[in-house]
Amino acid sequence: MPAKLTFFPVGNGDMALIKLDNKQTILVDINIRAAADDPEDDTYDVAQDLKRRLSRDDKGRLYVDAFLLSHPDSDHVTGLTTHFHLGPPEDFPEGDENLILIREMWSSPIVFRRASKQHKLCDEAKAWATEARRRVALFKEKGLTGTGSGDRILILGEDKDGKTDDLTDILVKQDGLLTAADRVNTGQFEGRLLAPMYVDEDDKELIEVLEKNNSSAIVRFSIAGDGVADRCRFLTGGDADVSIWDQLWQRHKDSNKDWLSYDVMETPHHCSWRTLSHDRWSEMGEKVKVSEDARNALSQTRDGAIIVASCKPIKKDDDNPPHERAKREYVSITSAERFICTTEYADEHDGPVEFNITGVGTSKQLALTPKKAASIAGVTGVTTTPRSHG
Amino acid sequence: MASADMKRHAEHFLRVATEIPQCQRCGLIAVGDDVATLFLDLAVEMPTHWHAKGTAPNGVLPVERVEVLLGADYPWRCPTFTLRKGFPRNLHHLTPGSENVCPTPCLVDGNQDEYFNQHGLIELGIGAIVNQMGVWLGRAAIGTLMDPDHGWEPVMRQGLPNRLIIDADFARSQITDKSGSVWLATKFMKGKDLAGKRSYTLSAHNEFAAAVGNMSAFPFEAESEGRYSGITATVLIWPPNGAITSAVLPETVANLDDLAQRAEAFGCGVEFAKFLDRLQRRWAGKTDDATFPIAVLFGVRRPFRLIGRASTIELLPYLIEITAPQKRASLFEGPNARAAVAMEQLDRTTPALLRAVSAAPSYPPFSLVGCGSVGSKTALHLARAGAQILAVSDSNELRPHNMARHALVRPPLPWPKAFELSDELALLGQKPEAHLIDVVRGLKRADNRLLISPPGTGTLLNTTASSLVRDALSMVSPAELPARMAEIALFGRGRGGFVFHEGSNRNPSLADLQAVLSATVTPYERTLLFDPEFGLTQIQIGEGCGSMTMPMTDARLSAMTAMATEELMRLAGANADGGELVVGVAEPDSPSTSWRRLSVSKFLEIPVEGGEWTLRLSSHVAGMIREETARFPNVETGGLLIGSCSSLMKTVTVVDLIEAPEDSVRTPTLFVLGTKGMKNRIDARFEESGRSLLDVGTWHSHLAEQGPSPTDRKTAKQVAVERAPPAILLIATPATYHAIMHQDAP
Repeated sequence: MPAKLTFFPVGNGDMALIKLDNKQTILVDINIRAAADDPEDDTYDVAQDLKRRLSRDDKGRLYVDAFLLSHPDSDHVTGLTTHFHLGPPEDFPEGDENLILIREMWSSPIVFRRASKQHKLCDEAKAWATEARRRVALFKEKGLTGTGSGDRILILGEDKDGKTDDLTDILVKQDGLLTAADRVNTGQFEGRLLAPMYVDEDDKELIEVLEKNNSSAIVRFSIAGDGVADRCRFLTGGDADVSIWDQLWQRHKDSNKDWLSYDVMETPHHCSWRTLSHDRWSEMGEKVKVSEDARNALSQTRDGAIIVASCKPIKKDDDNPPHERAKREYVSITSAERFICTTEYADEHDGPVEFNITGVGTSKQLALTPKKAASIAGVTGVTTTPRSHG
Repeated sequence: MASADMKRHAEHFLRVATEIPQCQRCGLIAVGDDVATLFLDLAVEMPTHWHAKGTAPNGVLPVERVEVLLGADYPWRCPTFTLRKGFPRNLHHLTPGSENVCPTPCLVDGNQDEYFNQHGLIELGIGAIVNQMGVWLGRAAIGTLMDPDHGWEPVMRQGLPNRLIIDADFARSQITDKSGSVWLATKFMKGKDLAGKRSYTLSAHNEFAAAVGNMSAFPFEAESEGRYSGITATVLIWPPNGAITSAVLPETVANLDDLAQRAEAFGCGVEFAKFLDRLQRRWAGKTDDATFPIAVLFGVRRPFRLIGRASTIELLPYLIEITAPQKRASLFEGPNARAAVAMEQLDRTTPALLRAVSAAPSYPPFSLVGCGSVGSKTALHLARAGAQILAVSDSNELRPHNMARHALVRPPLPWPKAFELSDELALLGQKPEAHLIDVVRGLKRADNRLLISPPGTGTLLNTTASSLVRDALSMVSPAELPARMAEIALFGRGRGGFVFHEGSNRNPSLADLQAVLSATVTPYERTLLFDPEFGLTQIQIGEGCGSMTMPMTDARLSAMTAMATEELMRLAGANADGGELVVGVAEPDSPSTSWRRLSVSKFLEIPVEGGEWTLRLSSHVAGMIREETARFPNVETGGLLIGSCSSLMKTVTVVDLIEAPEDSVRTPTLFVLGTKGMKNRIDARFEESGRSLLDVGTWHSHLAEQGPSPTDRKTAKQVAVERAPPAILLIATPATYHAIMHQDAP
């Protein structure tokens, strides 16, 4: 099996799975809505699909090697308490075949902050934060050697008020590299942590600009295929908005713009307009201007790169996200064929958007899924539509 | 099929195809009474940067047009797919053929018609086969790029009409560092394949044919009048070390010139020319009416090892034909003149091939004692798993009544079983020695021991179901016969079976394991083992003659033997230091069979004072004795020894104890074994063990390191007078054991 990158159809939300050459898995956000868990509902059952892709450990427990939560908004963390085990791994309910063990959490330091007006956490995000704090506390007590799979955590980015100072061993700083999932470092991938940004406490102006939206982790993964390094570059940025991308471009345009290059990018914030522009569509309509810096940051494509928008079907209306003008901008960076909306894709193909990563590069998977095959043959048609019987 | 039906099928196919994600466009090209031709434009999965360039490096395009042919027998037969003429040919999984014909991909590993129809609904079949075509194209786009980790994928030649059967390992072993060639003696048969095409099967032997020299045997000879079979040569040609062919060359060889070019490309053009020259000279002055096929086998050097092989050499055979009429300018003037075609190479049946097909590990070689039903079946199971069998020994002949269950089927002639089994095993690439020999006697002589268990034997397997043979095997010292011994036997009319695997240094021996089995049998096992109802029966095998045998069907015998052989393979593979016994019984009213395994530690070997006997004490019993003495640290204690005796082996084997009855007396200097209830308990133990375990003596403890006391010797004498079998007095001191028995002075 080649390494694989999968984007699940979760409406306006993010959920992607990286499966490495060595079969390790990195989950990036989840949005497992109640409808998707309802067997009577037609919403794609992403949890079941995810679980089919995961391995079980020697105790029969499903697990992910790493779970990157870009930021703790509900459309990035929904389903956490239903489908994942939280708490010490030894408390994993024996014989439970459905819960997933998170071997290592990758979390932004925002979980240390107290809730404020700008910082409200949904219940599932609170559960994430509690679990993250448990793991950090355990690390402080027992160090690296005392924290095994299921107790591990990496903190992505330094916290501005020094709360991460004593966490050096589990801290990845801005512009630093993630090179191991669950501390297995075999050169299968590296992830450049581009954000959250470290902001000097004295820079009040920047704090003002970034405060609300600086919490998203932005990672540019470079993934090996068939043992060959860097066969797929994948840029993912949570809900980071235009000001962040402006900053990133300014920061890296001269010497490190390659850090922003990608074969596959997930549009930030579900293809929303506010990623690309400071102008309000509702006020200016077609007169809006795209921020040149943000566009530059988001358009460092390698040959044939593909942009994936994890969002609802994109319509020409005022409902943002997703935004049709944003889609147009992304299509101008790639092409109509190389821009894929996850839900539109799922409607047509009955499955997630998948990329195969081989020794020669990243291919968008083209294959008939079993579900699609069944629907072609009309196998499920009879039972999914109410039929009258006289 | 009427044209209207064909059209209906074609339109249905297209309707389904449009729904398939890879299918960008499709349409009907032509439709007739027996055939409909369609096209599909399929998007090919390839890396994004090749997509951007508009082609894969090998020329596969992001969208490929394929033609689909629905034949008259559609949908019973899968449609045929062909690719465009210019499609790159240097790929695996393309059917060999001329450059002028559109290439055909091999879409599935196996029968394409079965694949197409396995889904029940035709729509699912269409979806699956078109999807498979898409997957194939995706692989083709990146397929030529192989790497050392995955191995070199051999060129696909499955299902070609002409075949060369050869011991691939032998052929590879002939290849030297310099370029060269050898001729191998080869049988040929001419026939027709299922499609009615002319087909040759050539079978090369591991034996050279003389390429030169008029005095040597001529390698070509037609055997039958019809000239459809005979002897010819396979010519193995190889390039020098360093002449590595890293490219997959298209399978487009059609004639001798192509073949010469191909030889050149493989780095052995000169050798090929030499071969043609030698062939002409070999035939100089000779004539023959027959047409002879010759296999030209290139040993192509690849940059890394082949998938599933340890070698980097790929064997690629081609077929040419020669004729030698009286008036001729060359040997290539026959009906197929200068044609050359690719052949399929099949491995000759060798243990290595069978091992690979069975996914079996490699075992130390076996030798077998007993070539009856169980022995013959076990031998074939082992040989088919690629295990080597060095010798088979048996003292009987195959008789008609053996045909009920013996693995071999033979006409009613009294052939020795060992010879027949050896011949059968030879067909599986084995060369076992066969001996018509009485094993019990044979084991007593060094030269015969070497026949029964030749040097190199890892496991000597006894399948005779004879306790005499078992005892004889258990008595031979490891120095005299170093192989590890094992035994498979059935009982209870095939409803039970056991496997013994002795420990290292013949400890525990097969006989020890038999005693342990008796000590640990379950009631149901006991019924099957010892109840006469499940035992041997006199079967009439002719007028006035009968045979003692165990009535059961071949199916029953095979079922138990097969499972026992699996256990034997596990044990032989593990080669643990201790011994193990495995017992299986078929449940009374169900098809289930349950097996139990029992590891048996080494027996303590205690010389018995006053005679040539040895006491063999199971480590289980030793443990029981130590537990008992720990319970009575300040007084002597003891009990009764249960086991078996063999006057042939001069051994007393102790596998169980009966604890001292309540009327026993324990003091610091004396232990008196009581009698209360003992008779009943001994009888019960005797019955429980299927009447095979007796009371073989007593044991008691000494508190200090002191051997037998005068009292002990007196008791020994008393016991000897009172009962026939050798009776042991075993003394357990804190650190060791002493055993005595009374023997009258001679």
